[in-house]
Amino acid sequence: MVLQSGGEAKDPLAEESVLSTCPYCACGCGLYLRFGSSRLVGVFPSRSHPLSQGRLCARGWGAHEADLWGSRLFRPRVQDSSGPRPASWSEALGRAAQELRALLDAGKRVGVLVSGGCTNEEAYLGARLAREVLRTGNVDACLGPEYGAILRGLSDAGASADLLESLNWIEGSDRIFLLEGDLAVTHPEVALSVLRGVRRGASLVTLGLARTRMSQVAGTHILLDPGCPRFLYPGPLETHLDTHPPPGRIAVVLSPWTPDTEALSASVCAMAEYIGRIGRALGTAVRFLPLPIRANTRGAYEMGAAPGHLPGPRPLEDQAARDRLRSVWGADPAREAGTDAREMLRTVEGLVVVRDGCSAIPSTAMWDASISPTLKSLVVLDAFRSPASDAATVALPIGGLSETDGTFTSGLGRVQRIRAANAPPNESRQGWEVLSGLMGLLGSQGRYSSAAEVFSEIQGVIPAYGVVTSEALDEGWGETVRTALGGGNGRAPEGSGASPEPHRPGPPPAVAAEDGRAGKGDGEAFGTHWLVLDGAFEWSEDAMVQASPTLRRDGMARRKLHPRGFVVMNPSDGSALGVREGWVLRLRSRGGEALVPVSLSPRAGEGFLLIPPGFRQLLSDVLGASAMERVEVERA
Amino acid sequence: MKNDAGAVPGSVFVVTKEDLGEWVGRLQADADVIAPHLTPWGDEEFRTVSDPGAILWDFVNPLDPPKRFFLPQTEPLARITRDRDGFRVEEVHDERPRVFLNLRSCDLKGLLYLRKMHATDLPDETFLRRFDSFTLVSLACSKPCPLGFCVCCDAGPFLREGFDLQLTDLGSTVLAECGSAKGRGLLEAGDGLFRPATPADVERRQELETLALRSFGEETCHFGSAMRRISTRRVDGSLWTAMAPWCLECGGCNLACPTCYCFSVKDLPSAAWEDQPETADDASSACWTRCRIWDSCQYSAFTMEASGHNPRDAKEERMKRRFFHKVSAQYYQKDGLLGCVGCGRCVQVCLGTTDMPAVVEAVRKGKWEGGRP
Repeated sequence: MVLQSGGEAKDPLAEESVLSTCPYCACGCGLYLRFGSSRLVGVFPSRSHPLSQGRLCARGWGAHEADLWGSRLFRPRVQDSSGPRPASWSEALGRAAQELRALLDAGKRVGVLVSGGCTNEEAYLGARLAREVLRTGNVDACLGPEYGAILRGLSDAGASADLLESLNWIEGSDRIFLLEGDLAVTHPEVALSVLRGVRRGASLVTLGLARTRMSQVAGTHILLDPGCPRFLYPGPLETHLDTHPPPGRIAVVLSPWTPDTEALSASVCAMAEYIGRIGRALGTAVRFLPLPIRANTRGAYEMGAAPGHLPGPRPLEDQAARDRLRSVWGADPAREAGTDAREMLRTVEGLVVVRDGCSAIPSTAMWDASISPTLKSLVVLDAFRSPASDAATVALPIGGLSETDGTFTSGLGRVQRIRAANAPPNESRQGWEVLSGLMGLLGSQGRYSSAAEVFSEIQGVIPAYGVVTSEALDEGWGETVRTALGGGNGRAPEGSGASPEPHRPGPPPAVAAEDGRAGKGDGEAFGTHWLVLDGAFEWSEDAMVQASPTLRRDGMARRKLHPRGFVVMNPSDGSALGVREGWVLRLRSRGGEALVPVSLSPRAGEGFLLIPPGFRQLLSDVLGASAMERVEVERA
Repeated sequence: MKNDAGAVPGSVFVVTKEDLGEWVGRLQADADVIAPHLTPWGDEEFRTVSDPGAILWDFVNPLDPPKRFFLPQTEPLARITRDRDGFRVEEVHDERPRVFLNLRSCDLKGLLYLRKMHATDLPDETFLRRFDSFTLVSLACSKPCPLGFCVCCDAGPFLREGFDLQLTDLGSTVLAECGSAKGRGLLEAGDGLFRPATPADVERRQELETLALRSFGEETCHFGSAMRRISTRRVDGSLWTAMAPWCLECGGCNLACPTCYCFSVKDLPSAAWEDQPETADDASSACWTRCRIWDSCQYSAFTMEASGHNPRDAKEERMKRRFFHKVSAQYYQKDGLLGCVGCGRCVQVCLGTTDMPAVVEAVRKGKWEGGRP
C-alpha cells in the first residue's frame, strides 16, 4: 500500500492535538493528546503548563497507549444464566436499575465504588447516586482511604492549615522531610522538586521502609519501625532533629508508603506533630504536602466519594452543606457513615463500580479474594475489560480518559480540564452520561447534557470550586482550590510565630493505647524479620498501565521471571542466612507459612523483607490481609 | 523569479514577507505543507497547515521535534490479513509529497542524522520512502534559543548544507538559499515572488550569522573534552553511579530528541476498533496493523532479553550507554555525525537533572554536583 498525493483525501500525518491532563498520578501534568485518522497516536508535553513545563514521566509519555491498545469494552452486556451477552443501552441500564431497586426494596446493602481515575464529574455523580438515590453512605474511591489517612494524620497533629500549594516551596526549602513509598516512581514531578531543592543546598531526610532513589540523594535516611506504635517514636527522627536543628523553612512531603491506613495515619501524625512543634519553637515555617496516589484521588475525595463525609469535603452533620445538597438534589443526602472500599467489597449485595480498572483494591487477585460472596448485582462502568467487568451482571462501556470530557483535581488542588480527543468508540458513552442515565432510571431528578453542566452543579454544592471559571478551564490551566481539609490554608505569614530560640524538643507524645498499633508491638515477640509491602500501590498493577505495551513491560517481565513472586532482603541479612540471589526462603508467620525466592538488594533495610504489592497474593498465607507482619525466616 | 534566473543550488533569492503567504499557498497546490504554528493553548507545534497566515516565522522551537513526521509515534508498517488462504502481509508506504517549512537548523541536522541511520546497513524502506518525499526548508536562527547549544554540535545556528532551501529573516524580507533541485522547485513555484538577492542582502545574512554565533556566550556544551574522556575510558564508573539517582527514567530525553530512534513493534488488531470482537487479543481478529512505536533505551525493560537477562538492568548502565552513543568518538567516527544537535529539548523535558549539558559537564569535570542550576 502506497499513500501518494490524492491516494487519500487526508494526510495520515495531519494529526490534531488536544490539550489534556495526564491520567496517571496526582501531579497533574499537562499534555497534548495527538490523534489522526480517528485514533490516538501519541502525546507530547505542554511547555506552557504551569507545573510540568514540558516534562512528563514515562507514564505520561505513554498516556495514549491504554486507550489505543487496551482490551476495550465496546457495547453493553448483561449476564444471563448462560453467561454474558450483548445488550442494548436501554436494556442494560434498565436491568441495572431494576437489580439495584430490588435490593433497595429488600433492605439489602448496596454501595458505589469510584476511583481516583474518575473525573470529578463521574466521582460526583457516583457520590450523588449513593447518597441521594441509593440512600447509602457506602461510597468510596479506590485509593481514597490512603489519602484520607494522610489527611487524618495531619488533622490529628493540628497541621491541617499548613498545606503547601506550590512545588516551588519545596525547591526553596532548607530542609525537606519525605515520607515515602518511592516518590520517584509514585510522583515523579514532586520528586524533581525535591531533587532541585537538594541541588540548591537543602538537606533531605527520607523516611520509609525501602532504600529508594530519593534516599540515595538524601543526607539522612530513616527507616520506619513497624515495631513502634507510631512508627517514628522513639526513633531516629527525634535524634536527627536534636542533633540537626533545621534552619530556614521546612517542607514535609507525605506520600502513601503503605496501604495500612492506620499505620499511614499514625506515622503522618507523629511526623507532623514533631516537626511542627520544632518549627514553631524555632520560628521556622513548615509546610506539608499530602499526596494522593491517582490523578484524581483528591478530586474524588472532595466530590464526596468517601464514606464519612459529604461533597466538599464536609462532615455528614454539616447542616449548611446538607442544605446546599438538598436544594440541588431535591432530597436530603443519606446521613449514614458508610463503609470504605475494602469493607464494601466484602459486605454489600449490590455494587456500582466506576472505572474499577484504575483501582488497586479490586485488582485481579484482590477481586476474587475480597469480593462479597453474597454480591447479587454488580454494575460496572469501564472503558476496559477487567476481572470486575467480566464478573459484572451489567457491564456498561464508557470512554477512556482520552475520550472523556471533565476535570481532575491534582494533589496540589489545581482543577483542570481533561478533554476528549475522540468520541468514545463504538457504542460506548461518556461516563457522566451513563451515570446520569442510571440515576434517572432510579428516580433522581439529576439530568445533564454535558460534563460542563455537571461541573456547574459541583460548583453549586462545593463553594470552594466556585473560583474555577470556565475561561480558566477552557483557555488556561484551571484554578487552584482550597478544600482538602475543610477550607482555606489559614497559614500564618512566613517568619511569624514563636521567636527563634534554641529548640529542645519535648518528649515524644505519649503513645495512646487506643492508637491501635499495640498489636505491632506484640508482634515483635514473634519472628526475626518484618515482612512488609513495598509501598501502598504498584503502578504495574494498574489496568491502564497493563493495557499499555510500553508501560507494562517491566511488570510483565517481572511476573515472567518470578512466577512464584519474590521478597527483597538486605544483602547482609542474606549473608547471615547463607542465601544467595534466587534461593528460596521459608517464611513463617502466626498466620501460616510460604516458600518464596529471595532477591538481595540494599533497597530492603536490615531486618526487613519487602514484597512488591503485585505479589502480595502469593504470600497471603503469611501476610494475611495485613500490610506488615513479623515472620521467621530460614533457608528452605 | 524567472525560471532561467539561476535557481541552482547555491543561488540566493529574496522574497518580501507580504508575499510569503502566497508562496506557501502555491506550495500547497502540490504538497502538504508542515510548519510551526501556535496551538489554541499557546504552545508551539509543528503541524500540517491549512492557513498560511497561521505559520510562525519568529518562534521558540516546538518542544515536539519534527521527527514524528518521519518516524511517527505510532507508525503503521504493514497490514496483516488472515483469510482462508492464510496470512497476507501488505507493506504500508507513505510517499505523499510534503514540504516541511521553517525547520530550525538543529532539527534539520537531526533529520539528516535519522536518514543516515535508516539508510545504513539494512536500509529501512518505510522510513526512506517517506523521508525522500519531503522537501526540507530550514529557517536559520539569527538569535540562539534559550536552551540551545547547536553551536557545539555543528548544527547551527546557520547551515552550510543539507537543506533544500535555507531561509533567513532579514526583517522585511526573507532570504532563500537554494540547496538542491527540490529547493529549486520551491523557488520556481514562487515565480514572480522571488528576486535574486543583492550583495547587501547577502552581507546582512552574514552579519546575522556572526551575531548569532557571538550570542551563545559561555552557555555551551564543550563536547570535545567530554568526548575525549568518554572515548578513552577516563570516566570513572562511580560518576555514572552518582548520577543515576538524579535520572527519573522518564525517557523524555529520548522521545523528545531529534536524533533518537529507539522503537518497539506491536500488532494492533484492526477489528478491535470495528464492530467486531470486544478484545484486542481476540483470536478471531482477521486484520492487524503492525506498528512501530517510540521507545526509550532508558526504560529498564527495553533491553530485557527473552531469557530474562538484562544487560543494562542497572540505571547507571543505561545512562552510560546513552551518553556513549551520543558523545563517543567511536560513534562519531562510525556515523560521521554527532548524535546530538544541541536543540536543548532534553534540558526542557528532563524530569531529573541529567540532561545533555549537565552530563557532559560532569564528564568533563569528573564529578557530579546534581546537575546545572
